[in-house]
Amino acid sequence: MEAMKKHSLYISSFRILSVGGFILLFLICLNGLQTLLGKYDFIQKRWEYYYELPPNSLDILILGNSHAYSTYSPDIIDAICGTNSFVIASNSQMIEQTYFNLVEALKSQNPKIVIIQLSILGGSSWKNHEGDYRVYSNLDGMKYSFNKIKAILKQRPRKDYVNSMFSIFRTHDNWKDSKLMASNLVRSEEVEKEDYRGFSVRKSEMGQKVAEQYELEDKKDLSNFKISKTDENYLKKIHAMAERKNVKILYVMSSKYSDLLNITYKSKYETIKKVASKYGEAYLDFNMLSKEIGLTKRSFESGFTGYQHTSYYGAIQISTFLANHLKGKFFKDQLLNSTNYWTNRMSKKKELYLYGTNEGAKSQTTIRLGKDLELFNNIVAKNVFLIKERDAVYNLIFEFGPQVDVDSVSGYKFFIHLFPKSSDKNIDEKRKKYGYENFDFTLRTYPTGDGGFYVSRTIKTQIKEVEKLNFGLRRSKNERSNEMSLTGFSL
Amino acid sequence: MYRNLAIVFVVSGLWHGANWTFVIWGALHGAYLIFEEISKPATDKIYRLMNIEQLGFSYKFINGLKTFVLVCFAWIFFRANTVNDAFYIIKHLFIQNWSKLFDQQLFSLGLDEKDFNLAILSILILLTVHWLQRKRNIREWLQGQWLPVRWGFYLCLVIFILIFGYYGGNEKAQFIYFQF
Repeated sequence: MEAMKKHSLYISSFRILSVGGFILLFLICLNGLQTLLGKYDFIQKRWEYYYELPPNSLDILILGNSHAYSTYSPDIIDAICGTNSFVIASNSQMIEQTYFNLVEALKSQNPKIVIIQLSILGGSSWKNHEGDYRVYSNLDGMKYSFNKIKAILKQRPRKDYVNSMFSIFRTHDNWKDSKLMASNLVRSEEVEKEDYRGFSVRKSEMGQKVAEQYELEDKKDLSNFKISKTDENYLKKIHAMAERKNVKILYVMSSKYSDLLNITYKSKYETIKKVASKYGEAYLDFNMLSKEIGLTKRSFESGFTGYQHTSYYGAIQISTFLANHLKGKFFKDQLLNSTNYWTNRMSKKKELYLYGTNEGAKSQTTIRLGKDLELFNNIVAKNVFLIKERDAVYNLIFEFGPQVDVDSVSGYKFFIHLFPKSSDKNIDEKRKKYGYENFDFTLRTYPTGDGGFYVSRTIKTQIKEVEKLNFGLRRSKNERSNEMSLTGFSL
Repeated sequence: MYRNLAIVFVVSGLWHGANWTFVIWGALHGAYLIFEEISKPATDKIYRLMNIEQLGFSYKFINGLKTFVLVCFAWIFFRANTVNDAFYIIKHLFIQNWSKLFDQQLFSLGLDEKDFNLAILSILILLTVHWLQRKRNIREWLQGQWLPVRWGFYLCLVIFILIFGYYGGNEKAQFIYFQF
């Protein structure tokens, strides 16, 4: 009898183990399939890189919609404040997403400041919308957890629960797209990853024609702007969450050209400020600060739309302003106590050399190729840096002081010729017959914050030992600057 | 008996929907069976004359082919929206346009090339399983395999359904007989 009992116990244990093993194996396969067949985008990339941050390494977390990831550059903020920041944002984000993203983000990090872009206020919910990548990608990016389930229940209609929880039901048909599967595999096999912080550059800049369209359009009457109950409820929840986690919430509003022109915007600003001050540390509206920051047409992306973002130019202006505000208020001594993690990370970023004040970190890692290089009489490069971003990827920066007129360089091209030493056989196969690699580029100037500007070029090369780096400006065959040559250095 | 056969099949056609297409579909099946019964002595004679053994492969093949062709023909009425549409299809059945089978037009009818190939592959798998089932019970055979092999096989089947399944949109497809 005893033996029979033992035997049946043995069988049932074995069965339980087998079922458990099968379920585990199934979940592993499901996860692999979802990665293989999914359409990866920047929203998911932000989550992926966020989860890979060292635990509790974050000082500033930025949340919001596309205006958040287009306007606030964590690299500029970190260079100025000595902090580590990250942007978790997604297109057309609504406040319900922001709340659940905050809950998710605070699981692994304990930032001092959470910055929330308030263009998420709209009183709407994804619950009443058809599912599209803007809601799915944000959910797909989250790891499976109780918070994710709650986010799905709040953001999706009942009929879409399964689709939202398991991306395989939406993406299974991608087995036909071999290129997509290959790119997913390549990404998962990547060894050296960039230090992505969630920011996206908007290269286009608004010209006169588009500006005129905004000037001529009928302006929205914002004098009766109200914050909906849904939005205020979530602001309360965010506030409560911040209190629990001992995090300060700073609300911000990035600038839109149409809002700058709208005389009724002030009412909207005052309404939001009243509520934001109640539920957060402070409210910074960059529309109201546009003169102080010096926003111009260039500060906005091109395109006559209702959702116009800041351009990269504008993002630099606003980020430097925001960073200086944060430094003065919350991170006065942060740079003095910079960690190895921060130094290693920032030494690969051009922002450290252009906006940072930590000379120790700069001298440790930069290749300062030259100083005061006279290209033309009136065009002198204040600094030339070559920064190693990662293996075989470098950033070449020409920094010009405030005395150089930005317009004087317009229309010029930089010619950049990289000659390897004869012992270095890593020159690109196609360039072998010329003996050098060519990285010519058209100048696009960006502000450095001190009245000067810089131009930069990404250099992808396998060359390690450099014989010389020749560079100069040219507009036509006859109009060339002095040719500069920097010799004998290693990459 | 012929009258009963005719009534049963016309009514079963009507049961599928209040449309002449369904009535004709049912009536056709009834007509097939009545004709088979009437012509049975003659067809048996022909088989005997041609030395085709009943229950032999040739007999089964001819009957299988005949049934397949006739049922497919009746499906035209079942699927068509109107009787006119059905006759239009029948009129154009024998136009020589075989080339259309081999250009890309075939893939504009609902299944793209990859789905089409997958459908062919799935049918082949189905036929193979059907053929194997005749020789042995696959379920019993699988039951006798080593547990990891067995469960690995189940896992592959689940994954196959997950990847290649046709789930449709969010809206639930209405079951065809819900209209009654």
